Amino acid sequence: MVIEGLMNVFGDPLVILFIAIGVIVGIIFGSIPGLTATMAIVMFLPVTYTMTSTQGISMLIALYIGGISGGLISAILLNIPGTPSSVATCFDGRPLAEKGQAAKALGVGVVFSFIGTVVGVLLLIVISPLLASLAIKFGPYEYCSLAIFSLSLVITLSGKDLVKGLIGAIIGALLATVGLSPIDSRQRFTFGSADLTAGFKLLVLLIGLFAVTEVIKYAGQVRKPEKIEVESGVKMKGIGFTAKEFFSQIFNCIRSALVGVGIGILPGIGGGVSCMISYTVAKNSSKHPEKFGTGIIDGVVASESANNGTIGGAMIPLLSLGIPGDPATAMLLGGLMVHNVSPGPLIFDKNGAVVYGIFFAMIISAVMMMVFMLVGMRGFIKVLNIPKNFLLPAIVVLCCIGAIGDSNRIFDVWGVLIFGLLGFGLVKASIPSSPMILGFILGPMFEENLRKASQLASSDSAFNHPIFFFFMIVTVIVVFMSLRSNKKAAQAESNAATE
Amino acid sequence: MEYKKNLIPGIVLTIFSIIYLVLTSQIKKFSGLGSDPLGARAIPYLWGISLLVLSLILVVRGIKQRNLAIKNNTLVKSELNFTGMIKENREIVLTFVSLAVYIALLEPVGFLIMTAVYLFVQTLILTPKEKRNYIVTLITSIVIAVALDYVFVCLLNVLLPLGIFGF
Repeated sequence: MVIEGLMNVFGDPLVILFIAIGVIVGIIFGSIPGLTATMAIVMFLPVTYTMTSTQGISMLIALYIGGISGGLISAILLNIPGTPSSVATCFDGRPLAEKGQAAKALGVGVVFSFIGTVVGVLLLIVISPLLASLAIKFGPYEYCSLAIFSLSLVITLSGKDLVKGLIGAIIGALLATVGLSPIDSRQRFTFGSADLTAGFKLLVLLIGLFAVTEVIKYAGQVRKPEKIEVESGVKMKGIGFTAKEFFSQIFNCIRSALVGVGIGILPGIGGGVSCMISYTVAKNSSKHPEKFGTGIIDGVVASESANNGTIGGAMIPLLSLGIPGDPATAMLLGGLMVHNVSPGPLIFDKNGAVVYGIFFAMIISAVMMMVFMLVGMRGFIKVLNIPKNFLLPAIVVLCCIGAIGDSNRIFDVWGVLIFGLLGFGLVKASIPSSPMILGFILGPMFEENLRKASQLASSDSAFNHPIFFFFMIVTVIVVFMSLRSNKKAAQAESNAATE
Repeated sequence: MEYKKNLIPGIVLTIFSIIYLVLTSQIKKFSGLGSDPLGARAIPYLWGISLLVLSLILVVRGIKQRNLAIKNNTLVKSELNFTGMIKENREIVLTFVSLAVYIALLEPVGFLIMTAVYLFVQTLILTPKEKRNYIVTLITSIVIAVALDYVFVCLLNVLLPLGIFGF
């Protein structure tokens, strides 16, 4: 399988070409504020429909890696993170650029992004088969508790407001109940429509929520344009920093990458959170915490190693459990489904060659990302000036093609519009959208397995399932702890208000 | 104005969850061989009731915030009425309308023509008035539409609506 996967990637020049295109487009999308890695994957999904599974999935992965890495360019040069994953890169990247060391900041960001990605991929290769072999023993009880556990994590970690996080997750789960019910195939909320009987598609939901909503947000600020000045005079010489600086950061980099992988494994929280946490960890354990924020490379390393480590981390539950770690991997889940690869514990048996292909494609993408960004930095900086009023309409059209092409129905394009409207409403109401995606995926998983378990309950009691109890206990602990920290935060806020 | 972020979604979601719960009660039960004790209604009831409770929490929170704002005299009366609000957010409304028209006419008129038209209109919507350049926008729209049509239909074999003119 390993050899087959290797041959699928390296034996097909088209795969290498698609990865190269994917990385470049990904970096461009990542670097332009307002366009994200998720949008890049949404846009290119229809392009992959007629490719082989290895070609298509490799390209989507390349877009993902390029997209997360590209964010550092605008974080450093514009002080606006190109993607949420690079939020913490601004803290030290921008001061470095102001000191005239933009090239150094960019070089450090690129190289440590690469190392972060590689650490993530290596852990992915080690952990995912282990997790899959454990998950293969999972039955209805275990999956049911896993769904509850994952949902509780998403809700507690995705935002400050527990109620709104929960609402997001439940709206997602509600949307997933449209169509035929699991087990007994009853029609639910279909109003007799054949299109609704098939239910809403994950892809359609994602396109609406993450692409159309972005365009609408942009439409809302047409008359209040932000002044953005791009410094195009940055010259990259080699990697921009010395070997000594590199070695001094090795420990920081590895720790940050591990933080990134760890956060990536938890469902629903993406690179945006991981870079912040890693930055805080690096600052708190540093010998000179006061220098953070003034422009030292430690901050850039912490943020960029972590957000790229998250890529490998988020792929772990996606491949071995079928639960995506963040919106971008949810999009990849959609992509895998299009190519008839069903993620889950059996993926190594059923689609082994594709999985190993994914691993190799990730490594190649990481290498290409580093080379392209070091060599072509000037080009990417120029692209920051691309007029969005021309770009966004074209993205909408591509999204529509993506929605039509999946199952050849105009109905799905209407779905995109409706979900775009819904997504805009959610933004206005500050209800987070990533719990919604997870609710949409985990809701049906929860229902199916709960009902199967209810059938089993008389013959096979829950007490025979230690993993079930493990997840339930952990869930209770997670909920309890987050309630407590929420209370503390609320108290701190009210204290600050009264002072 | 923070209270509106809780009150309005709270009210909308409360109404929605009641409708959802009514519809849930109309799901036909299956009680034949192989049926499970929970049935097709149980989980939708769970989601519907949870959403109802949570939306009511939002409503209560919103009302509390509003009362606090009235007490502190920080309640700002919005001077915009409904038409004013539409006018203020006209780009957003127009984006939705143009996208809806695009989707509605996609099948009857065909991908190529509708895409060119949509790109033209949407680009103008997203460009501030003083920066609009109709000729450049028109040319770019047509070029992008033709390129997309060629790439997807001819190179990638994705099926797209042909429309009455057959292209």
